[in-house]
Amino acid sequence: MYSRNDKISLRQVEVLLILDMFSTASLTMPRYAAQFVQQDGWIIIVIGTAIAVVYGYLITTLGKRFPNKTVIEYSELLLSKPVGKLVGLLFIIKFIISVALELRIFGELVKQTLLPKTPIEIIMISMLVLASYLSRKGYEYRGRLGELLIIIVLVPIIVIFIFAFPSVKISNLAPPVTGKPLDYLEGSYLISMSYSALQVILITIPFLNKPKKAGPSITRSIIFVGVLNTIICLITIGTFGHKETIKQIWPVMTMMQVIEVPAAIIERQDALMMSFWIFTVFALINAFVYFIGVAAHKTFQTKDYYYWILPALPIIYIVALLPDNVVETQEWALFVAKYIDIVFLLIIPLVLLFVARLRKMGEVNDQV
Amino acid sequence: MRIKKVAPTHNQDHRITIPISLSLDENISNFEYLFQDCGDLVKRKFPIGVNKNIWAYIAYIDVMIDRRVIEESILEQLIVQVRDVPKSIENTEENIFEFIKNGGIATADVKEIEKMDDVALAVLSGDTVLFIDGYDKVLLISTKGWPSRGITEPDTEAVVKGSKEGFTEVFRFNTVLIRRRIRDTKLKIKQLQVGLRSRTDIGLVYLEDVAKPAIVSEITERLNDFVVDGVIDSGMLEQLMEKDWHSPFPKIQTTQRPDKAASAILEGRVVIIVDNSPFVLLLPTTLNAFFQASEDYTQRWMIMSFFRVVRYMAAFVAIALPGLYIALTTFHPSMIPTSLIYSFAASRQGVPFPAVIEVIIMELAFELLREAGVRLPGPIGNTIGIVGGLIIGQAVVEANLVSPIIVIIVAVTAISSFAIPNYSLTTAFILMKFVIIALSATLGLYGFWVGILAQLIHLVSLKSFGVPYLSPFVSGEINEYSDLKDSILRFPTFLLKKRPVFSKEDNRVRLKMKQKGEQNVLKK
Amino acid sequence: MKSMTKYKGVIIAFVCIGLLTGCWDKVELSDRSFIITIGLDQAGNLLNITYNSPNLPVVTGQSESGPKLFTRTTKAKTLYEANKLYGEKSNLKINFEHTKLIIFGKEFLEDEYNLRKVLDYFNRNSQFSKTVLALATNGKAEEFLKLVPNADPPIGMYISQAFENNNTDPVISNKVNIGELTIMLSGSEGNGYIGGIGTQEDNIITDGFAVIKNYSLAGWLDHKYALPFSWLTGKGRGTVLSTDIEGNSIPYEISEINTSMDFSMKDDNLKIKIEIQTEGDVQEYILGIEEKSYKSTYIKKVELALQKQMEWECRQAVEVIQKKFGFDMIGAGDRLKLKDRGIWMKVKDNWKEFFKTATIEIKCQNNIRRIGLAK
Repeated sequence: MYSRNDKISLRQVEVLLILDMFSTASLTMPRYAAQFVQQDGWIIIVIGTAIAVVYGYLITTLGKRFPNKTVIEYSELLLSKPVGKLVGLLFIIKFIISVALELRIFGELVKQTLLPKTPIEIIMISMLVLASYLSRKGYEYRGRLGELLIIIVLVPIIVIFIFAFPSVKISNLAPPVTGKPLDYLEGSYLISMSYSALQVILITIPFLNKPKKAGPSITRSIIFVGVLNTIICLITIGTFGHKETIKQIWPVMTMMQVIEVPAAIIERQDALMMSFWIFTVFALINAFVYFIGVAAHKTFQTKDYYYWILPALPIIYIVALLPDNVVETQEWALFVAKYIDIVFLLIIPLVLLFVARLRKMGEVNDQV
Repeated sequence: MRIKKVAPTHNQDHRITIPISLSLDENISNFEYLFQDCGDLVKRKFPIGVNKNIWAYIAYIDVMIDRRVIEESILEQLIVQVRDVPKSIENTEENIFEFIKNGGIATADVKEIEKMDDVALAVLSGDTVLFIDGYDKVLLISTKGWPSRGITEPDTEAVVKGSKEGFTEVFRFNTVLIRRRIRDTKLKIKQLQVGLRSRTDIGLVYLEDVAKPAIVSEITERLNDFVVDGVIDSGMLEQLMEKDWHSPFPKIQTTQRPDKAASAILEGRVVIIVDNSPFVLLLPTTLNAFFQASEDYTQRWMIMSFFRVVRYMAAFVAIALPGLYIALTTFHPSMIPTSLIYSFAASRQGVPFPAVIEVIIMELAFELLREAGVRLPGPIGNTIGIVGGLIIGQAVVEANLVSPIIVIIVAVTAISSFAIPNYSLTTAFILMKFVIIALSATLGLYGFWVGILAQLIHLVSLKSFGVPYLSPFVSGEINEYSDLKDSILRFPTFLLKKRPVFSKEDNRVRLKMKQKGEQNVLKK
Repeated sequence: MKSMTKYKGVIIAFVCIGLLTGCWDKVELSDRSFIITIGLDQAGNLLNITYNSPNLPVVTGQSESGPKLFTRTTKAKTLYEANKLYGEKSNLKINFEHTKLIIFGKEFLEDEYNLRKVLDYFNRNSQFSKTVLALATNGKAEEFLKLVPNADPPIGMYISQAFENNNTDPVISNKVNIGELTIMLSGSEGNGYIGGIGTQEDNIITDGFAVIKNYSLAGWLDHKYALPFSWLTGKGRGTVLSTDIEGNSIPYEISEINTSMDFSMKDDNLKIKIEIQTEGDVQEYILGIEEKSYKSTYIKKVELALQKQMEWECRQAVEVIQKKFGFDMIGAGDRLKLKDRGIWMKVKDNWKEFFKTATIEIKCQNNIRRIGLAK
């Protein structure tokens, strides 16, 4: 029969995850990568992706034990009710902070590149309203839109990247592996946190039509984004050299300017590129807004999730306006990536998995 | 003169409540009371048999009937031939009705009816009724035959290669046109009547074992959702049956082509034929279905795939071009090549209006021309096109009121919007275009994409009778992506092995190719 | 469902507000002044900025009369202020999104901070494309821009088109745009080069390279070194090498060029071995020597002469680059990175010194493949 409301297919979740992970973090990733290990940025992105696959594996293993419950529900089950509520609250706060920072960074980027005189509030509110408009329609529609957006976003981006290869100077990437091992470790840890959108899987699992088979899809989407990020990093550092890459706030955006598409009817690609990024950022913001609703709905056991979305919007908006400027916003985002994401990606799943094993709760994995 | 207060003849459902009595005279007076002041009614009371003691009463609407049938098969039979019947039968009163029904009338389509409401309806639908004295039943003889314009080539979906027949206003002709294409007893034509007063015939045509029963029952349910006094055209029914009223996009496809309807039926869709309308409804539908023209399947796949791509691009241009022009020229001139932006800018020198106003003026002017041209008869419509399009367009540019680029943009947009094979979709796109223009004029390229995104969200949330509107581009896996073979590209016919998503899951195979070797019988 | 309608009302209200108060960034095309060329000069303490903008109806052929170009100059401390001043002088809004060319005057480049400041401004401002062509002139940029070239399009377009279409000129083949200049300067602590341009009897000609050291002009790499420079960087495809044989000058057009470098370290002394391999055609001989020219021995002889000529020219250029400017213009460092990781790790912290003192050996090999249609 037709896909029923609020049950999405594995392909849809794969697509949504790709869109969620491939957002503004990818625009700044070459800079962070170059900061840690100069020309070897791509290596730590590869390692970081590998680490992210581990997070994904952990989260899906946990999810498979409780295919019909969100993290909030089964942490209540495993660790008593108040702890479960606390976990739910933590998720809500984390999502609000994440979406607010993402929104702010997005607003700043759009203002910088497309609309220098338009008040940032307008950009942010319009994006927020649009995202919540879709969020209220439910998961199924989000999945369907994701299927459309992935084509609209990825095809042009990949085409433009093909044209970017001629401007890459291999000497900018040589010689490989010259830094200290500690830098690689720290760098890949930070890069792995740019896949923090993975934490939504903790809540996504019960919405899947085949929750037990989620593992490969999620790994696939992480690897896909990892490959894209690696290519972007190779091109950016290869074009600019690591010194110039570090100087740019949005190295990928700047790189787009340099690309010359032969016989193109478009003179400069940066504005065009920006517009494709609007879609991915939209997907991410919409995901967070939706999951704020779902998390609140599960935590406070209300009738439906979408009552929570409208009240959440002003909070998100205010949090987004808290940082004074771009630099501070990115510092906040870095702080979240460094110290907070790990809690949701690694610590909470690990603890829950441990307790679940100990108390022998949940469905035992039939390792197929 | 005081009007005599009579008992109400109709109930609240607008059905006639007068019973048929045994007495012919009472029946006649009741019947004629119902048809009072109906000048088009023809009636006659006449005796049957040699003794002339059995009286009968015949009535029909003039010109709505086939005169030959009435004269040859009824009147001649009853008045002339029946005189020779044996007397014994004439005397046995119980048999007289059966006798006339079985032996008196020389036509196959004869029915007994027992309600005055049905009698009136039959007369009004072009059948003839025969009252016989002493019976509270009426003989209905099908004599439908009214002037019609015949089967002509459809004027909205003309093709170069393919069937030239089009649906007409006559319900029965339309069912024939479909029946001729699918000779299967599983092809059901479920007949209903809608409209309290118009009593319009509606036929649900579908293949019993291919169409989803859920869709058929959903349609019947929705037809019962409303009570309307009259359904004049299928377009009205279309809107009455829709659920998402706040959407410009049509959720039911209409067509004037029997071949299209027949192939839709084979795909498992349900066709609704509405009497008096040459447009039949196909449902459920998807956005993709609107882009499929019937010629796509009669011509070679490569060529038609190319035209499909052109159509989809035209749809994008129709929605996006004016907005994109405004966004790029007034917000982001960096994206346009230098020499092009120079000629854009040069052509705008001295134009008094901002680009948005220019675009809106020209778009509205074009819509005005279209609207004026549509309503006027052919030759005058052409004149409007020439005067409006050529002369005014030229003058406006020469007076430097509008830059020539805008005229080009608006013209390209208009042409693109009519490259979409379906008119109701075209009009939806025209409306959407203005939303994009407004957003682009405010927020530039960002606004443009916000507009596109909002429309995508809207489209994604639409469903037509349970089928996602954007299928197969979204939720493609419910039919294992086989519908994509007939979307932006049309794959070779031998690859289109499965029915689309509209059909029953267990009956999706529509084409089986023989194994290789068997195929080349002719070569051997 | 009722809240849904309310929700839509909110959206509609929002859209309406946006539409009524919006259009912050909207500038009509006819209200923009597209700056096509910027000339940067030093005038005392101030910068003297020259802007060229096209007279659009004339340039696009919609009107016949009037000049093709408008030239305006402003003086200010920084480029940003100068742009603001321009706005005060013009009825139109200044726009750099279609700027094609930036010309640096000699005095401007000689200042220590000018280039750094201006490049930083270009980098920060999203209006400027990174692909704007950068050129230096051995005089004042303003004077250069006021020159009307003997070509149809305005000077900025003329030059940028010339630089796109004539890849055979050695300066053009080594052209540098703003983005590349920034990358070059930041990658090597302020060292780089800009293509030079000059005038000769009202014609625009390419003129060597302006060499930047520590973000200021160090000198001019003479035009005669431009050709060998293009060979050393491996970009000299289409250039012509001429040599004298028995008193006749024979031109040899290079159709393929491959430059490779080998590195070796001996007692802290870097040795760079540059090998240039070319293929090409001889375009003209002298009539009446058919007997000789159609023999492989003669061709070998010509090849040898070409090789000597090329080696000599390259040597001269390397000499100047290494001794006078003392920095790695020929991209040896980049090649070393790829070629020999061990040596690079040793020299990378002090690459400038190592390059200055390196022994450079040049070996050329020219192969004549075709000699035209006649014998």
